[in-house]
Amino acid sequence: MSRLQTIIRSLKNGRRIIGPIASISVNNPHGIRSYSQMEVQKDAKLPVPLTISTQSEHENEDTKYEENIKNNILNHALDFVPKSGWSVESLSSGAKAAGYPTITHGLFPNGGGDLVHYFNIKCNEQLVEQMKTWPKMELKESTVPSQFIENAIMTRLLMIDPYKITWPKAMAIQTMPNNVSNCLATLLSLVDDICYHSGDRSVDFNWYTRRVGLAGIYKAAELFYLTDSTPNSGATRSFVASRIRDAQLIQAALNLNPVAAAPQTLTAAFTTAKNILGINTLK
Amino acid sequence: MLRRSFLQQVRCAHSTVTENSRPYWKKNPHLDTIIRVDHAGELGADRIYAGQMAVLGNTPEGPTIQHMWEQEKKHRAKFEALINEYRVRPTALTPIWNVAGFVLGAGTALLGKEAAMACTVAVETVIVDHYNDQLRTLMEDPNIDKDILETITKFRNEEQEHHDTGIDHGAEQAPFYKALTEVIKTGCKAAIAISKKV
Repeated sequence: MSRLQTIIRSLKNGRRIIGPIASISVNNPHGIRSYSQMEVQKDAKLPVPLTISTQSEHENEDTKYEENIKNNILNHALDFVPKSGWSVESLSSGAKAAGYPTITHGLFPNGGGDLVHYFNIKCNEQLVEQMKTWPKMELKESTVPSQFIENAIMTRLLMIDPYKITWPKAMAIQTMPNNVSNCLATLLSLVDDICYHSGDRSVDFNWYTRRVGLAGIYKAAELFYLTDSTPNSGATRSFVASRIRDAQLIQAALNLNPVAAAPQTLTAAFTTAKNILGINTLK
Repeated sequence: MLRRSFLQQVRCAHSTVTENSRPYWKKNPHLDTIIRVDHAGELGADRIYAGQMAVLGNTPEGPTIQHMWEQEKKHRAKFEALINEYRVRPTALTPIWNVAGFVLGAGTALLGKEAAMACTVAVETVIVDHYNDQLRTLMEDPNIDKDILETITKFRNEEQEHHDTGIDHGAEQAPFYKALTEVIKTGCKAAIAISKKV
């Protein structure tokens, strides 16, 4: 009786027991093959990291190779900028001059934006190379190396000179949304380099104020330079010098001791109040 | 994501990232974050001890705090040198940490010397953990900068000494020791998280 019951039960449960087994073999068609694969993988495990590293090296070489081609094309394209502007046409002509088909301009999805970016980076690098050779000044806490900064800004501005006629277009290209980040990045690295090489070693909030102030001065000077027709850009030079003086004045005012400045501030406030009330005796 | 890609661009555009000069950002992308946050931390620690000295300078605890303060000043100077050497952007919140550190130090010192020591213990616990995390990150890199590794290890050990000094001087007898240390620890962790980015 009990045996019969167990047989019946086993038959009943059979579906449950056999079912999963069957489903395993059905759902896992790799079955036996997977074993052999695993063994192969075990054997292959040792060389795997090696192949990965060589692959990444290959990728590095590939990207480097691609970069070189791109820079070569961009460099040649700069020669065509005075004629055809910061445009895809310049890139095509540049590609042709570098010995590639004109269609290679497809490497630069941003078109003129990439060309302007390349030009900015190239100029920044040249400026850094030059600044390294300039004499270092003995710096005290309070003095601003205004001569150094003025020279740096003027040197950088004069690098635009060959492309001065087309530069307004380049500035417009830089303000397009997809180029803004590149433009800001090059501007920040420019002012950072100027500050560093002029001897700025601040580690507090001055780090930010100096760089932002310098970026403002540089951009203002760039705008001024576009309409400057004086020989040797003398007007731009004096413009830059006076902007640096302004910045120095602001810095001096910010560093002023509040207690020492109190009488001046009070007098100024008093005079202003008198002017507002119309009882200024000095009229 | 956008911000990240922008930072990447800034780094690529940066003229110091050329082949020969110093490809440090390629060497370890965490290095600028590490130097920035450590500088901010040592600045804060320096100000905390300044606040404690302002209140407890003339008490028997004065020389102990003075000794720890001197060490923190050295740490701060070292990280300021590193910021200049590696041209890392300092944190933008230096004015805030300046004030916050002093207020924290002076505030806890006003609660008594035990509370001041409890503050030291809380801050140093977080900082030791933080340095240990950084050491782990740096160790993962096969070609690590030995100088930075040794600097951080040395500073970690000194911070641990400060922590032990705090315990020895009765930090645990401070009023509301648990609550006080927990609040300060949370504050320090938040400050570290912010200084890494900003």
